[in-house]
Amino acid sequence: MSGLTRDVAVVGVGYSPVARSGDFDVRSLTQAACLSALDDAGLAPTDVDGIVEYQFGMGDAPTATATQRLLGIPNLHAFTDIMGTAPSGLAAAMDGAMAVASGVCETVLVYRCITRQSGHTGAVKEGPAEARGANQFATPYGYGGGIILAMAMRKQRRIAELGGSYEDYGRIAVNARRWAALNERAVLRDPLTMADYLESRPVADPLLVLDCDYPVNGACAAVITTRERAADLRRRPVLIDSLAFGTGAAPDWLYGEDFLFGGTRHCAERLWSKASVGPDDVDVAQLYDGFTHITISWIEALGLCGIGEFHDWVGDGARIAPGGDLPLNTSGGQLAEGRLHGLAFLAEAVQQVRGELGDRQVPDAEVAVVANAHGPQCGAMVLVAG
Amino acid sequence: MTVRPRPIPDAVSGFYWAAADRGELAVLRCDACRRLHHPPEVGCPHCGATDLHPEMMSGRGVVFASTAVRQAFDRAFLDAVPYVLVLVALEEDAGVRILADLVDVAPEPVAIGTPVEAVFERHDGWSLPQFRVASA
Repeated sequence: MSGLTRDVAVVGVGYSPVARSGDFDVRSLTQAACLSALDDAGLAPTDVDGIVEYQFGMGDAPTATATQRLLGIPNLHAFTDIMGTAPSGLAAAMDGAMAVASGVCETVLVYRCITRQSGHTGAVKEGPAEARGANQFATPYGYGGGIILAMAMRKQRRIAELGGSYEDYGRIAVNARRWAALNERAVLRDPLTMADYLESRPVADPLLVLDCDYPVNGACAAVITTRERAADLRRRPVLIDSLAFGTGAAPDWLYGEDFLFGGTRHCAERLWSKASVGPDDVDVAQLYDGFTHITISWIEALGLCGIGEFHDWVGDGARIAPGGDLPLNTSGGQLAEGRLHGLAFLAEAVQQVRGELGDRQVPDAEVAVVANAHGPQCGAMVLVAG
Repeated sequence: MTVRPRPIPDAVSGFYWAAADRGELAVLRCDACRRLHHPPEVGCPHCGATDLHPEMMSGRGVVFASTAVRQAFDRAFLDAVPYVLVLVALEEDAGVRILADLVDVAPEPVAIGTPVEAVFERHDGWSLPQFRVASA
């Protein structure tokens, strides 16, 4: 028995084509990812009775019921549109799993669709003449670009507070390209050296452009159902062993109590307390890399190494690379596969646990940990082979 | 020239901008738990109590974190980059952070722990808190 009321499993994952440029209809991207995930599961749209999606709230993805309509599903027992303040795309799978575990619905389709138009948060934009709400303390200073500047300040603060070096951040960026070379879907597949990383363009010192993920047009989807139903489906089921949210105290990207880790430590503590396995059992980790700082935070928060120990733990990076003892972000992550915004970490983890990833398959991967976002909006899952 | 977005006070932040106009930095203190917080909320982020009163700060603090912004995100700041943004931990309570420019410095991150003091940039009808490295 897992930590959920009813045991649930991920039974299908799918992607739309992923592109670095072009003008795409978000309905077509969502449709492609959803049909791909359903086909992977061996299910038809009419088998779905729940839909959950995550979006920035700018119409950058079709709503759950808009997708119900374009898939021709006659009725839903659960549907939710999740705001940008939740744990990125993984939030759709977390809420979907809760809907199935609770018995509100039986089979849920979850997705995140994103385009460069909404996902390229670093692009220069026409600013407002007036700053209202929380922005009154930020935008008058040119604070913008989503959380880019908050992440730049974390990068400086981490070294001062916990030690290590900026090369530590480069280990994450270099690792992403090593794995991406083995992933045909990845948009950035050229190898990257530490020198390339260190010499890359500063966005906001000490944050470099190669600390930031790469915006793309694309969608990712997953299908989640009961363990019982999963046993009859096409693929080996992958069980959701545990899932957890985390915010930390006085949550905020700039003013939250734990500036360096946000809610990651609370989230990880809860995650392991509800899991049947522990950090020592993890075979493969898929940890959010919208910014390199986020990945390092999760590695430490999840207890894959101690707090402040990443520098010594990661060494030359071999242990997180292909052939290493803790393969990390085996798709290339958002730094290299492209910014599908969180849910692709789940899709990659599911395929690793099913053992179907060819050149980049981690041998005998049975336990995977997936984490999304940082700051006030953390979420994580443990997956185990069914 | 950089035209900054003008801050529009809300139901609880009027005191902050009024204090800035007088050349002072003000922060809310909770009557119940006695802790300070910023930005101003309608309830204390530490205990949820609703009796909160502004208190004048010294304007002194230390750099908690900094960044040298090299890329504008708002077109109005295209000619302002590069410039330095800091989160300042206030002298009265290091857990209270204020985001602002650090003026009169080279466009590089500033060492964490550097002592700073508030200064105020005057605009037509409003003032913007900023910081500079404290004079020895």
